[in-house]
Parts: sequence; structure tokens; C-alpha cells
Amino acid sequence: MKIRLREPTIAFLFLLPAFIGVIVFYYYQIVQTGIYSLHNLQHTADWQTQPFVWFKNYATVFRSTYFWQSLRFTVYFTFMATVLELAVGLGMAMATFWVSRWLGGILRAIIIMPWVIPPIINAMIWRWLFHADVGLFGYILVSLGLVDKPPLFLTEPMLAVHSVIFADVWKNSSIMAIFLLGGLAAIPADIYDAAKVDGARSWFRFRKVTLPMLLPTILVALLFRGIDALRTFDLIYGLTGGGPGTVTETLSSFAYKYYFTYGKFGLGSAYAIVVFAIIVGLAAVYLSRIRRNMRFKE
Amino acid sequence: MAGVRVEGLLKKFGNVTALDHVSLEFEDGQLTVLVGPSGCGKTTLLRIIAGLEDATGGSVFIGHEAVNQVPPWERNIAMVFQSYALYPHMTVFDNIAFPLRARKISKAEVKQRVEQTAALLGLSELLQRKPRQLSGGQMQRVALGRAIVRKPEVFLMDEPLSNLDAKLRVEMRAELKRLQKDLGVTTIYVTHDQAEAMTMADKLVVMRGGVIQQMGEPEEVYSHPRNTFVGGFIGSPAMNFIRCSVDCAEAELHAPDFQCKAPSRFVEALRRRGKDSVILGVRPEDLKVLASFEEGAVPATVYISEPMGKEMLLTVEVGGALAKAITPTNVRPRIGETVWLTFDEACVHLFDSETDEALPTE
Amino acid sequence: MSAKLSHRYRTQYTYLMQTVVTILIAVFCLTPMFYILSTSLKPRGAEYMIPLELWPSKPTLQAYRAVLGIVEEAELASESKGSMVLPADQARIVKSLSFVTPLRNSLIVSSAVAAFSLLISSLSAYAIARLRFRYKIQSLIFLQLGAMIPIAVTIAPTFMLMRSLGLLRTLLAMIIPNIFYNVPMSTWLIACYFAELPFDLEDAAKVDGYKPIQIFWKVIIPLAAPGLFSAGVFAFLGSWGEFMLASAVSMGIPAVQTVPAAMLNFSVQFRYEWTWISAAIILSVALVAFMTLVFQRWVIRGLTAGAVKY
Repeated sequence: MKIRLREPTIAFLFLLPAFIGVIVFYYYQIVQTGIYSLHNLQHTADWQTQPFVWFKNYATVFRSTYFWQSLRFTVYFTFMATVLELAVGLGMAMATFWVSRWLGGILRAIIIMPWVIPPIINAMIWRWLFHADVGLFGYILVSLGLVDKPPLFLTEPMLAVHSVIFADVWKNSSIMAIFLLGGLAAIPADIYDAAKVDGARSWFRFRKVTLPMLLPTILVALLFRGIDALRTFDLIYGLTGGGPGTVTETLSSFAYKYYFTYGKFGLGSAYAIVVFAIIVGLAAVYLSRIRRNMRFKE
Repeated sequence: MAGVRVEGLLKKFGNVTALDHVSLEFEDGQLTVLVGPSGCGKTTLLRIIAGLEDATGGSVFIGHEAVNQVPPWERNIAMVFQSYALYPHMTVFDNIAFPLRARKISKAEVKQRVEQTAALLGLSELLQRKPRQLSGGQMQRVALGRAIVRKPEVFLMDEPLSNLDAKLRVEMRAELKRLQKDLGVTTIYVTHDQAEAMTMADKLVVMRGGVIQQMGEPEEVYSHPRNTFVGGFIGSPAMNFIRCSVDCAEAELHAPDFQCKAPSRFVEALRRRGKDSVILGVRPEDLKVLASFEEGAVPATVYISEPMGKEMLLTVEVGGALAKAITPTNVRPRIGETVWLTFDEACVHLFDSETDEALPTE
Repeated sequence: MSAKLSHRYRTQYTYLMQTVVTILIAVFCLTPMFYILSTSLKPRGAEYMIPLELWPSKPTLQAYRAVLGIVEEAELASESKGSMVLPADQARIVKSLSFVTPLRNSLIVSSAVAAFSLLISSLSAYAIARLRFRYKIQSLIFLQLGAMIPIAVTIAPTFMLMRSLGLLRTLLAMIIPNIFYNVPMSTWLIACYFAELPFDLEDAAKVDGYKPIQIFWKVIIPLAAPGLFSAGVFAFLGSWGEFMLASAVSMGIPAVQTVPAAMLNFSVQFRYEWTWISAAIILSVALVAFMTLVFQRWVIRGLTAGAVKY
């Protein structure tokens, strides 16, 4: 017998594996986390056997000064990192676009390098460069005569906060630059030529033509990075471990600590759900932006 | 207003020579068309005049000023691009206003001049639209508006009509020419379409391989092509070429299938030259097709006939080569039939068979 | 002003500025890795010597030998005077933490993840980009929204799930979830690529007598190879660096740790041995850095595909 499949049926079958996986590993897990967060759940136990505590975990979370502190840090970190990455990334992208063809090729290869480095390894790298006694960074500052002795990059609270941001900016300006480079390349060369002939000098061209035409890309890149920065975990875990004290603890790293250090899955889940709620907001904006780029067969 | 002059322009991309010591004068207020096949260097020449490309050697003058060192934004020129290059994030108004704003012209004047330009081009209703909401013809007008709004000394147009559909292109051709005459601005117009070039040009410059082949008024270039390339490129369908041997004593030309008298104005040149072969060129519109033999007519076999409404394009086989002729539709030969061709000797072109140059006439 | 300068001068000035800018960016991007490389080539203990050497005067591969577990007891003994740990014990620890195993594990995990997520994503991307059905955009959003969920949120139940499947302390516990962590992004990248192929292709193939499944395998997939490739590199890199899940499900067992988890373990165990840690870093990054360099053009194109269309 010959079975003839209609196109929507084929589409459904093609989508099925992806859907099942995403449901099992994302959506189902969210529901599970939600359930955990309503239980007084310990590491090794099944949630069915544990006491149902309504919103007690959330009450604990919202009453805790640690939560508010880490929320503040997470937001500050996300804001600073994203904005600085945009600035650095835009600079690198413009430079790559401006220099001659072969220098541009070299720059592309160089710029992509920090992005390749896994976050946890990035954390290791900066732990060494920010070393309190023999870190390259402190050493350079001392040699330049800017300070008497190496600053305590990772143990002085204010310094630690900004060291973490710096390490993130170093790695992720890359991806920002690559996005923006794509955006720049998508602007037709004729437009620049037209602007030159129309009498626009370089700064005027940048402000009135390049930047506005790049704006959609900038927005998407900011959202993309913002969502990623909000859930930062590896960098914190590897670089400062949330310290000094809990100054550089993000919501994600707190959640992880509750799970696997204190074994409090219920409380950790409450943290996780808060992270999720914040991200869903940003994700909605992001998805509505990239939706405009979709040009698929209808 | 100012003329444009280029002297000994040389442009190399790596080891490809795009322009080979080109010298040209574009007269004040005239519309000069640069025409040639793609890759002939016409667009490169235009971009060098605009300042978008640096010349490898030679100089460019706008008016009496050498502008080699002047960046495009300080040259008083306007350019229309093939892709129109409208700023997609700006409204029609802002697009047209852009060149004025780049020069820090007062708000009131910008508004007044943009509205005036828009009225001239029939864009007044569209000022608040974005480019993507416009049709091809409308985008074309906005690009023109952006060029004329600032009253430049020179217009540069790079195939401005080639993205329009055929009907609109013919309309815009006339309109553009009229606009240029009204404004009286020196215009350099690049196209690969010889019909567009013929109809629009005050002066025609035919280029190939970075070298100017011929320059002159369109009628002049059409009736006296300087070499086989120009003869073949200007005029559509292209000129027919047949290689003939020369009988100097009798002043006769011998093609494989026929022979004819050499036109008297060439006799002297043929004799002086003394070579035994020559290329005979006749335009399809100068070939007469007869159904029966007449004195001096050449036999030919019909290969294919293409009716084009008021006339017919006939491809025939003469002496092993194909030739095209335009005939009135009252002659309707069938494929494989024999027809007879004649031509007026006044319409004959002769070219040197080695150099492809036209032979001098008396 | 520049217009008034002579042409040659202006050109030379531009070249100079371009070179300076390139060097500045190179210094910013490469200094940290360069210094790690330099540290990894120093003899044990030399990394603490002041003044710091930007490049070791006597480069040695000692640290690499230690990290790969081919270190001799005697070698440790001569250098670890005053250490609380006996040389024999230390040699045993070093051997047990050899980076060979994590590198091999990571290679297995990342290759498997790249292959399977490509397979699954190319199917779903084909449906979204080229098949006619309702709820097309909704399907894509459904997948993408999933990818926005942080692993920190899903880690606890995923851990429990893996435990109930008995997969803890196995590579499968990393491979399976990581496949689906990469599916949404890969689907998006590949779908953008598929969408750029002319739609007449399928119609032509249908007229030529092919069935939809055949069209997918014989026409679309070969044509979209560069797009698939960049999605594959992306998935490979993503799972290569994935840390949270890997460290949770490997539960500190060196035999099943991937590079990121082993890295942390290693840096805790030998927290003062920065020549070793540096060598481990270099080993962890070398492969993916090389891969990205070779396929740089495709990676960049893939990354920007979805973000920058007008």
C-alpha cells in the first residue's frame, strides 16, 4: 500500500523530534522546577515524598537580603556588561570595516577568538591575570607607577564587581562585534557612496546613515547579550565563586549553590523561577524583534 | 555650472587596467553619455569623477579646479545610482533633504527647496513615505530629487534607468532628458544600452576595455563608426560584417557568394592601402530584401523571420555567414526560400581587416 | 582638512592609523591568551617570580607533561620540597587528573551533540522554512522561547531525570540534554539558510519526479551544506563549553568529566600550580580555537544570518 503524506503532516513529523526534546528538556523542566519550588525539597528526595509548603520558599527568598543583593548585582552586571560590550563591539566592528581588506581579514580572525573560549575557562584566565600578587594586570599598573602595590581585584568588593564585568566584556565584545559586522556588511555600499556624494563627512555619515541603519541589528544584539548576561553563572562560579562574601553572586549562581552546595532544591528552584520570570520578559521583546526578520515560505 | 575634464586617467585594479590613459572633455551644460559593454570602464570613470575611487594616474578637473585631492563630499556634484541608494530609514522628505542638511542649510530653506523639488518631480503626495513603500518609478524620482535639490555643478548618473521595466524606462528617458535641458546642468550619464545612449546624448562616448573608441554626436557615431566595434555596438540589430577580398584594378569587392563595386569614395583609400582584404559593413536597416532578382542583387537563403509589428527582422544566410535585414512586412518569405539583397552604396562601411579601423573616405 | 594634504601623505597616514588600530584591537583580544600560553611554558614555580616574564627565558613543556599525566615521581620530588603531600601521592593525583580523559570525553560529547542536533534541527528547520503548514511562526517561537530558559532553571529537574534514568556519571547524561540545548538555535540558523534557497527548487524536483523526503535529502541538504556546517560548529562549541550540567551529572568522577568540569576540578586540586592550569587551559582551547579559525568565514556568516536581515 502506498501512503501519501500531505505537506502539513510531513511538517509535523519533521518538527516532532525537536518538539519532543525541547518539551522534555525545557518546558517540562520549568514545570518541575515550579513544583519543586513549592516543596521543602532536599537534594536526594523525590518531591512527592516531601512536604508541600505553598509559597514559603518564595517568602524566604523575597525576605532574604541576599536575594535583593544578588538581584541588584545581576541587573547591574547585565546593564554594565551589555552597554560596554556594545561600545567595544561597535568600535571593533567599525574598525574592521574601515581598515584595508587584508587587515580586516586578520582582525576578523582575532576578534572571534575570545568568543571561542568557554566561559568557565575565561574565568580561569582572569583568575590568573587578576592574581593578587603576580597577576599581569596588577603588575602592569604597578610598573606604570599608577599604584604602589597590585590592587586586590577579586577580593575588594567594588573592584571584584568590576573585574567580573571586565572579564565578561573581554569575552563577549567579540560576539557583539561579529553581529554588528554582519549588520554593517548588510548595508549596501551604494548607500555609503550616495552619502559621500551628497556631501556628508565621516561623522555625519556615521550618525545619520550608518548608525540608524545599524539600529535593528544593535537592538537584536543587545537583547541577545542581555538575556545571556542575566543568566551568567559559569564566569562567577569560576572567577570569584560569588565572593568576596556574596557581592558577585548572580541569581543563577545562587540557585546553583542552593541546589548542589546546600542541597536545598526547593529554595534553589524558587530562585530559578525568579530568573525565568525576568528573562521571559526580555525574551518576548527579543522574539518579536527577530520575528520581523523571518522570511519563510507561507 | 561647469564643464568636466579628465586628462590621462589611468586606473588599475591589481594588474587589470580599467582605464587606460583616458582624456575627455565634458562640455558645460551638455548631456554626455558613456556607453559600452559591461567592464569597459565607464562606471569606473564616473566613480573617479565623483571621487569615490582614486585614479592610479592622471587628473580630473571640475570647472577649472583640479579635484584629485578633493573628497567627494567637497566636490559640487550629485550622483544617481543604479540601485537608487535611497536611505531606507528615512522618509522621502528626509532623503531629498539629506544633501542640504549635510551642508547645514537652514531648516526653512531645506523645507522650501525640498517641497519645490518634490513638486517638480510629482512627489508632493509621497513625502512622508519610506522608500520601501514606493514603486520602482517613484524611487527613481526620489533619487533624482536628491540629486537636483542642491543645484550641483555636475550630475553623474550610473545606469539610472536600468532597474525600471521597459515601458517606464522609455518614458523616463524622455523625462530625464527634458529635465536636464531645463536645468542646464552638465550631465555625465553611463549606460550599457545603446538605444538609451542614442536617444539621450548630446554627445556620445563609446568605450571598450578602458579605452575610448569614439566620441561625437549620436548621428555622427551612428553614420560614421570609427571601427567595427562601434559599428557593431551602436545600432540595433547590429551591423552585418562580411569579409571581402579586394580587386584594386577593377575597384571591386569579392565576397564568397557575390561581388560588388567598391563605393567610389573608398576607391582611393583602397588603392593606397594596397591590402587584398577588407571588412564590408552594412546595417540591417540599409539592406533591401527583394523577392526576385534585380541587377546587382545578391542571393540569400532565409534562415528565420521575426515579425516585429510594423516591420520584420529577417535573418538570412549569405556566403556561409548569417546577416540580418529589416524589411517591411509586405514581404513574407518562408524559411529556406531564396531572396535577393541589395544595398545602396552610400550606406556601405568599409573597415580594415587587420586593424578593424574604418577606411578613410574622400 | 585632509583634503588639503597631499594624496600620498594622506594615504600613508591612513595606513599608519589602520595598522595602529589593528594592533590595539589585537592586544586587547589576544593579551590574556598570550600570557596564559607564556605561563604554560614556564618551569614549575617560575610563574611567581618577580619581575614577571612576558615570555619565558627558558620555555619548557614540563607543564604539559604534567597535565597529560606523563610526569615522573622524581621530577615532582625535586620541586616540591616543603609540600605537605608526598611526591608519590602527588604523582598519583596528577596521573588520575590527567587531561587526556576529559579531552577525549569532550570530543565524544561535542561530536555526538553536533551530529544529532544537526540531524534534528535540519528536519525542523526544513519544515519551518520550506513546508506549507499553519502555526509556522508559532512553532519557531515555541522552540526559541525554550532556548531562553536558563540552564540554572532546568538543572535541578534535569539532574533528577537523569538520576531516575540511571544515567548519572555517564557521558549520555551530558549528550542528550545538550543536543536539545542546541536544537532551537541550530533550527533558527539553518532555517535562515534554507529560506535563502530559491523556492522553485522543490517545484522543479517535484516535477522531475521526486518525493518530499527525497527532495530534502538530495536537493536541499547538499545545497545548504555551509549553513548546516556553521550550525554544527556552533553546537560543537556550545557543548564544548557547557559547564553547569556537565559538572552536576559527572559528580566529580574524573573518568566522565568533560573539559570544563575537569578544569574546575583541576584548578581546585592544584590551585597554586598555575603553569599546570595554564597548560590545561591551552589544551582545552586549542582545538576549538583552531576549528573556529579554519571555518571562520562560515561561523561568522551563520552567526549573523538571523540577526541582520532587512
